[in-house]
Amino acid sequence: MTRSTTRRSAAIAIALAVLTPVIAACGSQEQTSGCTPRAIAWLGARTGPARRPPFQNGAELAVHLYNQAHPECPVGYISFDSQGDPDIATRLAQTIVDDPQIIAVVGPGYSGESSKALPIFELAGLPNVTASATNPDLATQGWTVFHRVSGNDAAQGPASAAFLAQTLKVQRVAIIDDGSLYGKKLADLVAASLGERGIVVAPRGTVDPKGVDYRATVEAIAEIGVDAVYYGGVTEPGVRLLRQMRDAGVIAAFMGGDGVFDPSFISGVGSGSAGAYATCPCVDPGLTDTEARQQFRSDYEVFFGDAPVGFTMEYFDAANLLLQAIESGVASREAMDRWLDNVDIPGLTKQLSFTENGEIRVGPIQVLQVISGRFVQVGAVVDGRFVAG
Amino acid sequence: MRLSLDPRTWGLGTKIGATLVAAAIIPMALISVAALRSGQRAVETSELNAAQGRAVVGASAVQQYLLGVIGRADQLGTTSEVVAFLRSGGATAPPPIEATAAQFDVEAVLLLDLGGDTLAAAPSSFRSSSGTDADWFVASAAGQTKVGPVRFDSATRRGSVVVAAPARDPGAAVVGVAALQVSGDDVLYALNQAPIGPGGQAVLVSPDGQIVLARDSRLAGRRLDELGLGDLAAEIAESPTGTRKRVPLEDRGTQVVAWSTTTGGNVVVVFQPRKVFLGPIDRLASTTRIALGVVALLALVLALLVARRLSRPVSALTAAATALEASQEPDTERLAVIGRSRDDIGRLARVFASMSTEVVERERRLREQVAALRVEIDEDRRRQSVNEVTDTEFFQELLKRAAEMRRAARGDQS
Repeated sequence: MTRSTTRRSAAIAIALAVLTPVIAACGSQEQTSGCTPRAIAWLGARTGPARRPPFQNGAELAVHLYNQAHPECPVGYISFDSQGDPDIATRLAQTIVDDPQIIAVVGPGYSGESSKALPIFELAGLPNVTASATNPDLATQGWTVFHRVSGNDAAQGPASAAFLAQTLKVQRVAIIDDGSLYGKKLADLVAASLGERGIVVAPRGTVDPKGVDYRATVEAIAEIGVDAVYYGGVTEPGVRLLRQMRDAGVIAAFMGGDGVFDPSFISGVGSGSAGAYATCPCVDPGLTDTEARQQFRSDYEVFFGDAPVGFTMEYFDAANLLLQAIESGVASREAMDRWLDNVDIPGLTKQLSFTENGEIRVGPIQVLQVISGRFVQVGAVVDGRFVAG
Repeated sequence: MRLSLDPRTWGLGTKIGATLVAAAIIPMALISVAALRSGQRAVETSELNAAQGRAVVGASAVQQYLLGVIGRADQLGTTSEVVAFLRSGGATAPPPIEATAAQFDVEAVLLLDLGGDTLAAAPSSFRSSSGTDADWFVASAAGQTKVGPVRFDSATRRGSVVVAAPARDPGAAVVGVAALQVSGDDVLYALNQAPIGPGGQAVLVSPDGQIVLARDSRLAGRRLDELGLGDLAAEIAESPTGTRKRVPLEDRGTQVVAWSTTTGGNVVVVFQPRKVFLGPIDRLASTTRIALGVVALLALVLALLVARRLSRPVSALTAAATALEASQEPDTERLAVIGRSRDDIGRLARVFASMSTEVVERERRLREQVAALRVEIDEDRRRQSVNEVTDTEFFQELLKRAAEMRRAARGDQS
């Protein structure tokens, strides 16, 4: 060996010795085990006045059943309680995106919190699937991560108007909302649609969702004398509005959106709730017409000891979509978003496939009425026409 | 090519290069490691303090929420209708407890007599699963308001807690117990009022070491020892507040843990992944490692260049000396180039050049003298051998005979 080759080889030896720790440091520190820990998050109201536990129960049941079938690699289910408050949801959304295990979100439960949480999810590329945030504007903000497994209020509003005009044959309708993003938009859509049909909308008002005394609104309704009152908003203010209306002797028909489609609405209002209408872009949770729905119903009752409500089945579908993606090997937020954009599979409530905006491709609007203390489906609005049954 | 790791076989340049690199990099690496270590310790300490703060905030939020429930239970227990109902042993009309039961967080309202029998419940189907030996019943029957430990129902996977108050007229004897069972979700909500850092979580652990409330379904209902955290459970049982630096949490990596005991013997435990808060310093460490590597490479290249420059004159001198040793003339031109430098090696080269010139000159002279000497010696030797020939009698005889023959020949002609 000549001197120069010795020198060169020694130089390489030193370079290697110096570089080895650097190369080692650049290497991934992730350990490769058979099961990568992955989780989906729930964001919605679990406590507080806007609580709708059966929403998240649908998602939780799906995860529970999945984990029973996949004990070797269970998927985490992390529940974030926003109380339906957009400000709390903003804070929680940040917490959610900070957790690298979370690759998708079920929810947010309401439109208001969605409008605050989604920009944060969008920034983090974290896909969501909601069912009960029905404000149509959510799909048109350019949020690529947004997905909704139920119809939106752009369909629900005109459907309600069609029902009021064609079936109830109203002439004058009072429209009240609770000031929330969801309630106001839905009320506006109904008002616009009624206006197009030449039906008088008056009075058009808003109640304070945190207030308890709606006398001023109720008196205005009573004074003008309307055929029907349409309420856009969540359950609690709706309960107070209808109770105070009936207490004041207002007998006009009452109709609300999916916000009032909840057993707590009936129990809250009491006997005055009889005959009230609700619409929902969801499937009647009492349906047990298919084997899958029967199975769901019995699983739900075993697990939670009570019956599902509106959107419970939709949330079961939403969580199941994410779980099927995980089962098929999806392990990142980005892959999940892509998977959701291309999915086309049958769900419990409908065929699950999304438009470019993240809206579900098919979704009927059900009309329900309180009969003998519970909501009964009286028909559905299809293509602007009410079909009984 | 064979890699030689034996420094004894390295050339001078490599040795100098390696020394320079080692001299530059090793102290730098040591300083960096020390700085990073102390940074890590500082971050760890501050994170421990922060986690402790979060645990305390969570514990106090839970306590405040439950204090509100205690207030409601107390109010219920001192309502005259309730007292009358319990005093009569359930004989009078049941008081309207449905309104209390309809509150958002209330799962059930129970009115019990001192024997532990449920005289009224809302919802009416509800029956307390705990017997008369439940802490809250014993304490409230004895006249205290009491928050029970949070219980986890493994069927519904939900937590709940019973808050009980003695039923009595102000200042009078206890006639029964008014109890509210509130949803664990509301306690969890209060618990999460503490701002938890990224990736962290707060859970509620019951006095017997079970995680009764957690956002993550994988943790809810699990026992600490089942998660391999038996040490932590023991430590929590010993001290009402505390911290631990390294706790491995299933699927979540190593965590910093802080805990604080709250009402009912329940303990708020805050987990904060170390990776998150040590992330910046870990990134700094890896950046430093890369920087050290790059600097080492640069230093190596520079050192090799410098070393080669330094060792080139030495090798030229070596070559010159080798040439001299082999009695050849060294490359004076190369020496002259080196000699232009003003440093020691330059002087050495100049001295060596003049020395070698002198040596060469002296040798040349010597060789000339030797050659001259040799010529002289040869002349002398030749002369000597001629003399040796001419001095013989035979040669003299021959000369005489030749002279005579020449003479005779001349005489014949004339």
